[in-house]
Amino acid sequence: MAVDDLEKLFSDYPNLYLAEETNEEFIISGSLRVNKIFNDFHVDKEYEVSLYIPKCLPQQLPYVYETSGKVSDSYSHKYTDQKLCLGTDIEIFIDFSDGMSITKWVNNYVISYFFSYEYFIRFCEYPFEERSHGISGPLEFYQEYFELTCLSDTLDFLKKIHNKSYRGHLSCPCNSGKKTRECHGEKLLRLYKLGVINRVFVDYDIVLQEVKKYNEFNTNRTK
Amino acid sequence: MITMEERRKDIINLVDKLDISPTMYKNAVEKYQNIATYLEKNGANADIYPQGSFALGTVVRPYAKDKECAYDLDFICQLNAMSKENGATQVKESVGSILDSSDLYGGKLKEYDECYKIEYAEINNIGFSMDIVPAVDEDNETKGILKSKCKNPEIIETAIAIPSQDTWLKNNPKGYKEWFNSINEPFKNFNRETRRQALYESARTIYASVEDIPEGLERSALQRVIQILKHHRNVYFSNKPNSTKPLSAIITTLTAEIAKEAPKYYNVFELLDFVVKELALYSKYQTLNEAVFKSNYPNNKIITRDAGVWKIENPANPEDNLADEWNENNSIAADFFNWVSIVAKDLISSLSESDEKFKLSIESAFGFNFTSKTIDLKKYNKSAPTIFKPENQKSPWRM
Repeated sequence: MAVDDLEKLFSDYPNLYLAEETNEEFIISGSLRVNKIFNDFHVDKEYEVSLYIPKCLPQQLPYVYETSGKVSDSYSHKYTDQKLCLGTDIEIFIDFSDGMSITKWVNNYVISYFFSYEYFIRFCEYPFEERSHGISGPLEFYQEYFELTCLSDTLDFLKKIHNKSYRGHLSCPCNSGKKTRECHGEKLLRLYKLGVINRVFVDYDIVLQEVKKYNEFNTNRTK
Repeated sequence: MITMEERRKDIINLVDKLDISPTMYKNAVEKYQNIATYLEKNGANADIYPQGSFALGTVVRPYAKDKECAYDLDFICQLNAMSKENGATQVKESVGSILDSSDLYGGKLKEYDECYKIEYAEINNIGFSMDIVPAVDEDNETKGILKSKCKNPEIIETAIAIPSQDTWLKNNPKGYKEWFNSINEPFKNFNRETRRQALYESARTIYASVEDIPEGLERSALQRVIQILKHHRNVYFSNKPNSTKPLSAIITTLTAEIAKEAPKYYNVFELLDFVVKELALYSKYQTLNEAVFKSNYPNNKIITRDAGVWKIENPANPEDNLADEWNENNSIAADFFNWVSIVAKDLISSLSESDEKFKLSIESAFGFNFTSKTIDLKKYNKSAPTIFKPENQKSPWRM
């Protein structure tokens, strides 16, 4: 991560400052003003935040705390360790691998998190489509990314790309009957090029283990 | 800090702009009179009268974010020479066939279960349509039954029967209007000349003198409160697409019932406060059982929940429970009471908050676009917001 990336952040958000620097990360604190409109609804509020930006981005992803208590602990997108759940790791990872700056991350993920929160508090509904919790969250992302029709198709698709490395001339893992390069090739190659494909496989392994656990649980119950 | 007085003025200004404009009003009246004349000339022998918000003076400008943003005005076409004995289908078709054969209306006509809709050209991007509801006088036997059940038996005489597919619906818009007017009367008479004068000042090009201002354009504190609540509902529920928004009939009925007990010299804000506090009280029916609620609030009978069944009686039709939907899905009642608490926050407690918070509250209440176009918000807070432009609506995290 480039240092001028941080400079841009401080110039765009003058109320943020570098609170600490360790060997592993930058800790940025201060207040973040959210002044946005969506769906004719206006949020204008300041939040006290601490942003932890790892130096080995994107291998490790940044995380955020809201320190003035403006986000309720019972909000479902806040982890028990108080970190804010900004989205699925894979999406953030892809964005960083694709060159997203820290400033853009604050804009796209952190500001929108707070906007979403205020919207939810007022309307009990989210302004933007939400990801599910647990393993469904990343699966939903893959379904959307590959434009597949359901979660089980998505799981099947992940299984195939996990078990067999990319071959453009072979038939596409989506079962369309087309060659991969004429079907999902471009989207798949992007993941290879960005170096995120291993992360996808890690996600797949996690999903697989959860599915296994679930199946064992059910078999035991029927016994 | 901006004074309370000025804040109230700003809200009143917003509410004024929510109303149907005198031009629009005049236009609507002319259109419905033209249809009435046409039907009359072609042998309909009917009594044509408005029902709903247009008849009650509680109409609000459609909220621009609504996809079906249009003025929908309802008119009853009550056929004097026909009765239920003619059969539902024939009654309905007798109106339909006359409208259909018209050069003017025929092409614009859409048929629905209970009405014919005529869509007019948009004016200032707002659609305008008129629903014509064929009806006949209710039969005497049914009226007798309704009278025996109704808290206001004196208004049942005007009950009508509306053909719907091959059966009849009971309704009583004239009775409802009479009931509403009797409650509104003292509110209307309070400060009436001042209000009429102000109306005249704002519509000098349309009316030659104060005397020419039609009664239908006057707005009492009661009518204003209903308009505010209806618009707030439109704005709030447009961002809650998965919920059922409260019916206008519920808002109007409850507000008028509550206003019966309010001092008639109340201004819009005092009455709004009075109504909202009273409505909020009924939210306790969600957690208290019937007996406890009744012993704690013996005089609160506008909404009831006997044996778990929500009921808001239509004052002009005892067989019509306006809260029917609440019994099918409990979240509809929960959403209603939650909405009431948000109205209180947006339009009552906000008046004593900081300038910044007050500004956000009225923006939320009336919608950002409409508010920023109608009043000067800069005096409350100078900084302008930016608009989220999601690159991809589906993805929550990319804006």
